[in-house]
Amino acid sequence: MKPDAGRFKVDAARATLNATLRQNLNHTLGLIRARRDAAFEALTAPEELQEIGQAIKQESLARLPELLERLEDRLTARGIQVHWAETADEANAIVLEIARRRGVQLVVKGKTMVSEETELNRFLQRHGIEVLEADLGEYIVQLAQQPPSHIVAPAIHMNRREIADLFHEKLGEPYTVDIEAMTAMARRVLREKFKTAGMGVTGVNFAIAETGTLCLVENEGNGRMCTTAPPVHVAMMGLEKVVANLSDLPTLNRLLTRSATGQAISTYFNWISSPRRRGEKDGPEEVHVVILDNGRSSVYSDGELRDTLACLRCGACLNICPVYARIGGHAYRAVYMGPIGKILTPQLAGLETAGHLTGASTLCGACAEVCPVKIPIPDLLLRLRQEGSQPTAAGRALFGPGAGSQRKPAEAMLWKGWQVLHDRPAYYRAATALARAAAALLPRRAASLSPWGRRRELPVPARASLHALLRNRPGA
Amino acid sequence: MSARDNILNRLRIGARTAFAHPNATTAREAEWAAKQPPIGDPARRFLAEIGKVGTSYLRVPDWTAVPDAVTSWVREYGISSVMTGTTPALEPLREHLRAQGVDTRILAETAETQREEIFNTDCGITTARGAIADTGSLLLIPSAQEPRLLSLAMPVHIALLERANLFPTLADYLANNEFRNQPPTNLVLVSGASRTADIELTLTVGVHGPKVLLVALIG
Repeated sequence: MKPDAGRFKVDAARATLNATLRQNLNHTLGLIRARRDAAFEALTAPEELQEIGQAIKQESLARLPELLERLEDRLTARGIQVHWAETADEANAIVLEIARRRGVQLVVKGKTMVSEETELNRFLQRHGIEVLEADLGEYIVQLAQQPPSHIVAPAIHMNRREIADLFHEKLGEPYTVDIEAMTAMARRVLREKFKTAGMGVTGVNFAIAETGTLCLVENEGNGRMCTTAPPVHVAMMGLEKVVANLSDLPTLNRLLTRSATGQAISTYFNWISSPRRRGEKDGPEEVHVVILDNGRSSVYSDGELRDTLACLRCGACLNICPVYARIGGHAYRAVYMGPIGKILTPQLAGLETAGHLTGASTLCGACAEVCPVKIPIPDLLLRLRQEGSQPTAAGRALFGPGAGSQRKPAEAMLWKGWQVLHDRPAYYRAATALARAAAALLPRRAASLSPWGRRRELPVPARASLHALLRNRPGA
Repeated sequence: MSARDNILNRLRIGARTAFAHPNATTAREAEWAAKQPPIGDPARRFLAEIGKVGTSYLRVPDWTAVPDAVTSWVREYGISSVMTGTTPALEPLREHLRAQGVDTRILAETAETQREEIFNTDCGITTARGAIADTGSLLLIPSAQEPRLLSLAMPVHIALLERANLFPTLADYLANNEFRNQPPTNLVLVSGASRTADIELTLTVGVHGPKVLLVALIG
């Protein structure tokens, strides 16, 4: 799955016309926004909590190399094996190597966006290892052979009837639209898998450098199963997931669950600090952590864009985004969709590939308001648009991948013309006079300019300009 | 050069970028927490919070009253088999349950050797290290005596919690340095029965973990 400017236009247009999708998204996003708002309104001074969360993440980012080394040191001291991967391919190869050494045939997975980023499932399957998603939403989209359409609620684009059809067809279960019954089907199927899987793969919500602790936030218990039942646990994390102190956890977790689902805390908040110790009767014998870069260190090198790495992956910006609500998650053709995806994807994949996503925004600013760590998403969108449309001749090397790739010569020329007209009063007066005179001849729609223009009418020039009106006002 | 060194070297260059960051976030967190509505009596708050997510509880005056409380649940939920760890403190409870004709098992070997038994028992019983009042969270620290699966694999989980071990907030628990000094293999905060909302955001209880969570508050 790769972002593609041409397909994005087609997919987005198609999605806005898909009544079922719109209905499914409206229903779920409406509920989730209300829950998030209620959870924050129940707090005194919620904005202050966001500011503290922001400060914690910025502090951790400022000390990133030091904290990663400390994390590695603490984890290693207690027997957790740490691996570093510069690219998605390297990360996958590390997981495969562990699986082969342990003779793993079946992998069960908790929800992990990093493994979506590396396309781990497809990779392992290609090497003959069965992979099963255990989070219910992930399990649904895996059965449907689709990518997740939301980073927290992967099957948000589907309604119960669509899921009922899927379960009936793929699992051979009797058809039912009863959500409890469908959940029970998934429980039955996955139970057997937990019992026999040779490896559990999960993500990491927070990695605590101070103590060497991996924290997982979840509601279903699939994360606990994946980290308890199989003999090997592999946790995959982006390198930005490290935070300095244990005492940072209360604030970050308060913000994460409230922003993601409106819960004060998730059902399970699971802290892992070592593999099974001598005498313990369950838990994995081996615990591995794969720390993934995959473009993050280049994002990190820019003081402004670095804010992107503060993201907790709560999904609140998706839930409130007017664009996401209308086109859904699949149209982006990116692992990270919605507002955070629009700033993260072009930085990870390069502006040539994903620069068009920075334009898929109304810049309404709602995402920045709900962000639990106050990432200035609209500012970063503007910055990336600038990077994308700067003249390549200027050869600015500050932002490497794809700078200037989004520049459109016609657009640049129009702006140049605009600048000339507004610089010289004589030209300006001549041009506006011409426009007034030719008003009747101008097209009513700006169809040729952009898709945006296709839906809008051009304003009709006034018969007399403001200058003229003022000059001719009575008593002038 | 290894991937590790390449990554860290790139980050070290980036880390030089000047960055304004306030340092004392922990103090700010405490200040912020002090502004929140008071927690009041931790036990009352804890029970109110767990009630919100459908967790039932019984209050008992001391450990001697635990067996009767558990027996009443065994009847109410039609439990025919239970499993505990090897915790000596639970021996009176195990004896009582056996006397009541309940199939009472012990996870004494390993999860691998007792796998079928573990996944085919109705109810797991564990103690709790403590609980967090403001979020209604049990604080479980599984151990060699009380393995992790006891609070995870069975459809019903009964947790035995002493009132003296309630902490008003998570920050209060962390402040006692117990975790910091000796991080356990696994610590888990449990705030209800296993649940999902992945289909139409409709809350459904009992996905991969217990469908029913019961708490006996002792003291």
